[in-house]
Amino acid sequence: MLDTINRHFRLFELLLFLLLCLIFLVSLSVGKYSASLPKVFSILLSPVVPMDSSWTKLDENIILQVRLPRAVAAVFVGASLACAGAVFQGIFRNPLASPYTLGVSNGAGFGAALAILLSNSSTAIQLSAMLFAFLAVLLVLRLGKHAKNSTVTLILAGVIVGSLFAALVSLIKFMADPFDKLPAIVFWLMGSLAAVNLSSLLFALPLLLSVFLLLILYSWRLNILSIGDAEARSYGVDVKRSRTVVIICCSMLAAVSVALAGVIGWIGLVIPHLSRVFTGPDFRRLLPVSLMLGGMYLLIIDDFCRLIGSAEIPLGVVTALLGTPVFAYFMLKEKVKW
Amino acid sequence: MELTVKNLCFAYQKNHPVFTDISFNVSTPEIFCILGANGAGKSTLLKCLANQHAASSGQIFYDEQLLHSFSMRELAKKIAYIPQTHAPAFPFSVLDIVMMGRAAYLGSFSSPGNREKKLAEEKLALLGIEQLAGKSYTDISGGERQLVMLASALAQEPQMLLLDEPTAHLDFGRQYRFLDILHLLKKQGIGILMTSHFPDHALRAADTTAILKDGTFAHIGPSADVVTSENLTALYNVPIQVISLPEYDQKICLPEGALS
Repeated sequence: MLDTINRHFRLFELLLFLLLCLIFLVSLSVGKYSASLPKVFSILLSPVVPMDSSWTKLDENIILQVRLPRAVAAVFVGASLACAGAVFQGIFRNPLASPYTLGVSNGAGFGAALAILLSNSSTAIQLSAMLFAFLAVLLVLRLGKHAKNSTVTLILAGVIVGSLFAALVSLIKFMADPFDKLPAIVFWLMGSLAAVNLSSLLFALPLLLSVFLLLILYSWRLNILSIGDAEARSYGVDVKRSRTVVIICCSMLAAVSVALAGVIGWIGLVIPHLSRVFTGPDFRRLLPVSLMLGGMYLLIIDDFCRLIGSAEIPLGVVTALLGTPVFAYFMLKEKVKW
Repeated sequence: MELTVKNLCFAYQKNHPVFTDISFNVSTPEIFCILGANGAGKSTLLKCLANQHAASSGQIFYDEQLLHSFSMRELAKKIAYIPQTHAPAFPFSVLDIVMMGRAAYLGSFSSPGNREKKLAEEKLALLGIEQLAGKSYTDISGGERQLVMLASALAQEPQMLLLDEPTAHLDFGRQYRFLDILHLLKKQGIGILMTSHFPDHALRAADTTAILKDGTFAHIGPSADVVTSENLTALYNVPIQVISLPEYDQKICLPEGALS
């Protein structure tokens, strides 16, 4: 099945994966309380391989209870956003599309703001964010259902539904207690991985992994969806149905990501473009590379957020601050083609 | 295979039909050409036949089976449609584009392999453009793209091709090479239904020609009977002579009078 994809590319993928593993381990070791790489390695292996513990209980707690869930979440959220962005840019044939194009971020923002206003439970915030993210996408799909030029109409519907929820978020901010609730809402909207815990990960990971797998298996069909509606229909692809299924899958990735980590911009827009520099437009190559680059990128960004300054800087701020120069370099070198 | 169209009507807006009550037959192997002025509804008719638009009323049968009762996959194995213009957004390789023609034969979760690659290369070679295989689809000319789309349609191994102005972007030599290719495909048993702005092409290649005017087929029949001075003059609103050139065994269409 994959013999049309050459061996060099497989090697590139393998190297990328090893790099991801390395960055992951380094992320576990760095922080205010640093642990050496070998120590991290042995703590990680200790549940599987019996060995003498040369580390303190504190080491173990910090690595396994605090940093591990956070690093895992960074990889998966980054991967999800990059993957959903790549797919949306393809099926909408639009370089400006991102996982948030169909209103997921504004819907989730409203859900989270509402939950923060009404309660303090992080589970409630996550569930409400996801629920309203989905509501936004369903509204968009409903609005775009009878459209003739459906990709453009869907994007327009996304803008409209997005503005509705953005207005509602502003309304909640206006009504919220300015000393207690308002900062919580604002900070949530800027994105952070600090609130990630084991139970939310156990819920999110199987969902994200199965969508990754589904999209990777479907990647050749994504190629066909990306070349044009009339052509795809002529090839015997039920464009409307396939596109709706793909949109729901990608919205799931975006909604879960936002529920876990708040609204992290930039990754879903730019990592796919960066990945295409290495892979070209073929989703069979683009998806794996986007997943890994997205994961790596958010890991590095989160490390920065944890290390710089006494208080954590919001993720959404740093993704753009650090990412723009990198992307600008590739653009100036004319590597980014659309 | 046989295409039967009965009383077909289509309207984008109510009470403003593009065409009304069109009925005709195409049986393979036959080359059927539709002529008509700009905006006459040629492309719309073709889109209805290709299941891109749903007709307002009337019926379309392929081998006596209603168009709507086909699954998308089944239909893609019977007919292939090439739209008039194609605006590619992504730089896929030409070979990748041609292999996409195999979508109807592959499962939703599979991807083309060596067999599909070989078939795609054969189709490119048949059209004499095998040297384009590795090029990026966005970097080739409009005319070359048209040929690549034909190769991709042929990879579907259809029984009938629906071509919307296939010669529009081709250079003078390629236009005639293209007509030769259509003739070759006909010999292989493939039916061709095409629209065109060139009555010369209808005369040269088509067995049957229909003139679409005022929302209906004003004339339909063997090309030599339909493509006449009188019919073309009425169709294009300029005096046109269809002239026989016995020494070349051909007819050509000539607008009357020099430039004023």
